[in-house]
Amino acid sequence: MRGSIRAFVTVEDTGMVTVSEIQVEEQFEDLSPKTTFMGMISLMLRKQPLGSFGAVIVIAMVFMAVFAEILTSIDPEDNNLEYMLTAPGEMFFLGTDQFGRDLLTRIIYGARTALFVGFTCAIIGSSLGLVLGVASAYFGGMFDLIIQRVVDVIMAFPLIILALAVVATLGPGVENVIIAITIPFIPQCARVVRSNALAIREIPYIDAARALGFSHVRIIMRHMVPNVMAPFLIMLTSFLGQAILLEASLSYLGMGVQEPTAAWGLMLQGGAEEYAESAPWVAVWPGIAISLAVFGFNLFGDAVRDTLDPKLRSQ
Amino acid sequence: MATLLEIENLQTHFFTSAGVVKAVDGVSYTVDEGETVAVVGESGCGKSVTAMSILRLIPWPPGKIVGGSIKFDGQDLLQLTEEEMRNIRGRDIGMIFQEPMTSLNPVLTIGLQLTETLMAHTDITAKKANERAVELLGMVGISEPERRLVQYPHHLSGGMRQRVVIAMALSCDPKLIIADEPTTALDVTIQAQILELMKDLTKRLGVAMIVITHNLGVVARYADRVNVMYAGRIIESGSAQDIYYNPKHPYTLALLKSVPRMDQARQAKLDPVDGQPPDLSQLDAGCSFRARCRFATAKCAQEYPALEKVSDTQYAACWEKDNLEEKAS
Repeated sequence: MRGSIRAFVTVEDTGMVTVSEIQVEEQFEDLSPKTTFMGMISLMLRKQPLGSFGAVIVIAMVFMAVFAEILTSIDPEDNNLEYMLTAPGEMFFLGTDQFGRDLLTRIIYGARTALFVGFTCAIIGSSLGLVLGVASAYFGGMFDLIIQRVVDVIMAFPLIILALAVVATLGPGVENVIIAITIPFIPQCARVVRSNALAIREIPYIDAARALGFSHVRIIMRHMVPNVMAPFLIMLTSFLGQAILLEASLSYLGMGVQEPTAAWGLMLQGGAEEYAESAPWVAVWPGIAISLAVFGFNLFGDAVRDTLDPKLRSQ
Repeated sequence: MATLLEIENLQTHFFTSAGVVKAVDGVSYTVDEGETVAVVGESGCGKSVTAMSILRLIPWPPGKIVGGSIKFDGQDLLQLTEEEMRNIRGRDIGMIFQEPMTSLNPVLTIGLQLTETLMAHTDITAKKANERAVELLGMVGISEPERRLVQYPHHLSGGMRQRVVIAMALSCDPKLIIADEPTTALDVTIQAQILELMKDLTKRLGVAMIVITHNLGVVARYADRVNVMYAGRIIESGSAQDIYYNPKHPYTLALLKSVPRMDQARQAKLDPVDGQPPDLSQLDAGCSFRARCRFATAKCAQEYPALEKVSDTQYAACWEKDNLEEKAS
């Protein structure tokens, strides 16, 4: 503190400005103490117990997806008709399905499919929505009107119906499932981001950026987009859970990922119809995996929203 | 000195559902190189719209420049393409906004915002731009400029932010700076510092400046010439001396009487300007100030008086301009 004041005497010519400015700075530095990693984790556990639980599920899923080969030595697509529909036990921890494939292995590899589809759809969908929403708010007028009416039309469809329609047009397969899930996400994100960007648009620094001769693209990407990061991240995390659920739904309906790829929705479909009574584990495990994953991502998303929303944070 | 900016009969109208609002209706003035010109008037008289028209930043819809010309450095700004205009903004014409609290982007560092302007308009390396940013911050009187580069706007006080805004406006060596009420949002001690700084820098760097303000004290002290605006037109124009000691338009006279002056007795009563400015979408052929004017005659309702020469340096738009002195006393 004393050092800072000395600096003002030598450089500044008047007192009040510099003193108040230094005080602000000191306060700012005091408010952000050097937290350790463990300290941050214990803070998060206290502030966001549910969010932490969600984060644990998310991290576990990512771990499963990344290290699938290390976690299990069995091939998820390897049929082993000798052990068809074995109940959970010593040999197969979660049992096997009608082709004798190890369910635990398929659940682990299924996380890979779910996360791949989930992240790809959520990131592409929300990013395109972000740019579209900000551009719509920035340009306004006719451009905004047309974009928003198109958004209205797309949003009038329920998510699953629109995704089904896209898959029906393009055909099944992982790439097409990603496209089908991404398309309905774009307008959703665009709508939310636009409403935030409209407020940003009216703040003088955007006019100032125009007065400095920056191009539209630069103003949108450099000056507006970073200011709508909070709603964007909230949409992104909520899309993760939705995308996983949608992928599972599409696969369950036979319109998504195709056999023999390990995907939770597909496993549910294969097991639920014929073996609900004789071998319930075939359907139960993927069902639990889907629920847990969506639950985890939603809790995690809520925690992100609470952390980023200053109104909720102060409570 | 050579004329830098020449605004001819500028008309900027806003097309709203309530009718056409003639925010700027036939404004003409010039700015010489290195000269400081003040534009004074109350809120909504078209001061800022004139400034934004120069930069062609009037949002369409609803606003549009419908007539006139703006000659800057030999070219008509209204004829340029958007691309050419973008090169003029920030490089040849800098702008200082009213609110330093909101005219800097809160999520970008000071250094980034300063170098971004430089790099957008000149072929400068990132390293050179950084050096120039430090130099600029030092020039506007900010302590420890190297450290400021990595700070965010919320780390700085209002006065310091306005200094940063000034540094940004000056970064590409502009020929003209438009300052739209640069001190309105600052407290009085800082106002004086910022104005001193702006006066000093413009003089030293030879930059012309248009100061938009409603503070007559600012005008008297810092401007070479003054244009008084009312309801979208210039109603009086002259040197700061002319306007302050020898006003020839009833509105200027009323404005001066409504502010406290150091050269008058402390108990002297202030005399506010009665009434409201007219609705700019409902103007008739007569003088727009006549409803609030103490000297209004029948002629004022019929025809708008032209801006006519009073002396070598002073112009006024009033039918009674020659009789003002005796009538006022």
